[in-house]
Amino acid sequence: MLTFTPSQPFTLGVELELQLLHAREGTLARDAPDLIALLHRTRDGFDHFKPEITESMIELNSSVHTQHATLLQELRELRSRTVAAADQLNIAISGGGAHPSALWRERRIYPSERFLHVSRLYGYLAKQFTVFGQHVHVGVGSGDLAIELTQRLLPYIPHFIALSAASPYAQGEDTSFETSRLHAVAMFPLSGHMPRLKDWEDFNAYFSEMVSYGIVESMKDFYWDIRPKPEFGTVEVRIFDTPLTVEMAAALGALVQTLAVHLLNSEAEKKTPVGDLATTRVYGYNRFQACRFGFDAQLANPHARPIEQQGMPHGARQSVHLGESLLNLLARLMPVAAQLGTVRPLMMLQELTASHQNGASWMRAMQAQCGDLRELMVRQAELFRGGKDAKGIRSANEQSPNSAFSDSKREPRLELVQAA
Amino acid sequence: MNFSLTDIRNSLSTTLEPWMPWADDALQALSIWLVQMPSVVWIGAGLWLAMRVADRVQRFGALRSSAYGGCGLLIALGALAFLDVASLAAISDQTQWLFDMALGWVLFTVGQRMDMRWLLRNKALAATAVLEFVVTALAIAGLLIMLGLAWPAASIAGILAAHSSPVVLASFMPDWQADGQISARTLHLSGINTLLSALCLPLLLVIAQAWQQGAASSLTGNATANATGTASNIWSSFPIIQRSGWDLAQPLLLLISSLAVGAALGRLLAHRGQGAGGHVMAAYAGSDSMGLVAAACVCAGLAQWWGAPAWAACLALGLSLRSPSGAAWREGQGLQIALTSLAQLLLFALSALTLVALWIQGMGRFTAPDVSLGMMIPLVALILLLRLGAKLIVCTLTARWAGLRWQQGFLLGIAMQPLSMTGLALLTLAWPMLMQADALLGCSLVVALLISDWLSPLLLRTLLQRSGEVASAPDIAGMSSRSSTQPTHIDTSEPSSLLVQRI
Repeated sequence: MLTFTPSQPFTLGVELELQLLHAREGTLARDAPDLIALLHRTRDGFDHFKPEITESMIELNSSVHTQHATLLQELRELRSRTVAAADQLNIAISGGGAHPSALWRERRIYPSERFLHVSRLYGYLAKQFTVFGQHVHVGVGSGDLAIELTQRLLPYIPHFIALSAASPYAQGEDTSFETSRLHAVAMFPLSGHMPRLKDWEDFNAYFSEMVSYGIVESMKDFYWDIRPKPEFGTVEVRIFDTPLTVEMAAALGALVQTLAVHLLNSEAEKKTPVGDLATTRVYGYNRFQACRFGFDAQLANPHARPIEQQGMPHGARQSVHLGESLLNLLARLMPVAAQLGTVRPLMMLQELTASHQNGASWMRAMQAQCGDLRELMVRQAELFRGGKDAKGIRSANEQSPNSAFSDSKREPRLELVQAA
Repeated sequence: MNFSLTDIRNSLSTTLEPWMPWADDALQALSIWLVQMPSVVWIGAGLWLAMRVADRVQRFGALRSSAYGGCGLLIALGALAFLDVASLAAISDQTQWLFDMALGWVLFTVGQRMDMRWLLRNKALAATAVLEFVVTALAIAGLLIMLGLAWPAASIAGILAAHSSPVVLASFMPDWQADGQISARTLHLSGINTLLSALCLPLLLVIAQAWQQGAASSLTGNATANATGTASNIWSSFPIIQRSGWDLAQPLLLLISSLAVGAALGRLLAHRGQGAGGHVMAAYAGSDSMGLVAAACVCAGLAQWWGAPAWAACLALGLSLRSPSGAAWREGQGLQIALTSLAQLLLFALSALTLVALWIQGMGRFTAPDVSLGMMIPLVALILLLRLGAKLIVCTLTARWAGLRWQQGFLLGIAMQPLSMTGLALLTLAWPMLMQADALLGCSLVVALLISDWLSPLLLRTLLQRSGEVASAPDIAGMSSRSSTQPTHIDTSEPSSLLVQRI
């Protein structure tokens, strides 16, 4: 039986999984134990810096915040501390969802009991899991609300993916996806989304059943895109690729906070049913669309009316353009954002969406410039370091109009999807 | 040593005389035939033998380098049974270019892995690099002076013994897949150490030579002054001042020009690569790697042309270049690994051969080799222990300041022990001076280098395994321990056949 510890509603916290690189070569390093040891010497080091599954990654944890501004301030301070410690070890720290040329067999499991257990259980999947995500925690007042919010956030997963996508390369090649990180997550048996559940009691019954089969031991065994976190009293959104800058990370946190307030407080949203079956049916497909095409994804919309048009298959429904849908959503959120003080980060996201720019487009543009994936990683680390501000994302795209991003627009698209 | 082996040959032919009267003639003919054989045949046969032996010993968990070194040693000792010292020295000279090329290649890869910006960012690390060299050199030189050796010989020995070679670690890194702070710092510290030794040693050799000449002339001068009754010139006791500036500057200029040619060529190649962007890889992915080999050869050749150390040019070339990128890197990796393996084989086998040749040459100067050998053992032990202690203390004391735990600093101090390869290159440079000043010390250093040749790879592997930077066995997670990770709650109340039916 899991007890949900309530927390102050709509508070905010962020976890960032970061890449450790050899400073000169841009390849993944294996120095997490030394970096963690160094960071733990600093003030509150144990609270803010944690190891991750392999020795090429660390996790950076923020405190609990109510405001975007304080979150951003803290993330910048934590970044400075991490970068300063990494400098001593000749390691570069970078954002991004996956290393473009890393090979799983070269990774080493971090020597802790939990990670070694995961490694024994999942075999090579554990090493393949050297991918880097951002987790955003939003505080909720009860377990029932946590279940409700988890399910209400589900249709917005493609939007989150498109905004944060920053892993277009894998094993030295362009995958043609905006994010390849989620494939590593998808291989785990308990990935995807939480099943349709009514409330916290229902969740507990489900959890007990899973425990009785020996499938899970704790909440950590669920690799869902969104999951309740009872010990923190939060809902944890885990779908984001780690952005290339902490500014973007804070903006994504602000988006989740604003959306959570909107979904749980808005009268219009309250009228819609929780855990819509049709939404879960198209969930996998929409997720794929967002991973593959980013802002240009065409989302299946189960609530759209069938199109009565000549030449269309019977019962065909109009799909939704993700970029447009995201712009509409951001516009809808502005009144709530004004109350929460998240207008500026949301405006930044609006700007990026309007110009179809995310981490993946920056990486492709930069790769077109330098022609070397390791040089790309060196520059990516410079960007994370704050050497260039977040505007660098824009300038890189402007310098390379013939980037792979614009090529992807010309690829054949699925304009319509059959109703389920 | 040579005499005893010749004696063995003589006694062998005397023993065989009654049964095989032609044995002596056959041995003579064999000796002549062996001397006339082109050295390239010997090189090929030696490499093949070393490779086969290494394959065998690797099956028993031993290191390939031990087999390479062992074969080099055996070939050298075997050759001594048939050849004289001069012939062995000639073979050693003929194979020198191979040793130089191998050393140049490995130092090029060392340069590729080094990041000089790290030393600028981490001042404590840069200070450690200088401190451990200075403290070790001073400690050894001081002790030798206290033991009664002349300061030039003691200082040269101090620099040679303070030297740490990055070659052993660099040539094994691809095999071991070593990655971590100990290996990275060892590589950087020993790289800096090599540069410091290469800077200090030629300068010291010039000063020592001047001092020796000055000492000799002052003896003559004093005798003349005493005879004539005039006061001697006060400056004659500082003979270094009498040397021309060029004599002093020459070794430094040669080293600097050697570094400059490597750095310039590296910059040029890097600039060309950048200009070409991603399109350079289009033609053939392995071209980049072969281009690097070609660049390393040109660089070494240019340096050698005007008498500068070729390996320093290769190190500088590596410092200015990263390994090829993307697909080219993956495709060319096979070539680079093959070259590093070949360099490893050549370095270990040929260094053993060269060291034996030097040792025999040194021992030939003693009338009582047994007594010399008895004096050599404590001297070698003292040198090795002192350098171990000095490096351990400095690395441990500066560890926390440089961002490590003190335990890691301790391990770093041990990892700095390899002496061979670049040590041999430096020893060859100082060899005539050492033979002139103190042959016993020279031979002791040769023994120290031989011991290092044999023990360093084993020491480094054990150390890096202990620090977790080298995996002790393939650790593809979960492959061998599946049963221990299955769900713990297994319901056995239902027969398995029933379960299968349900599925």
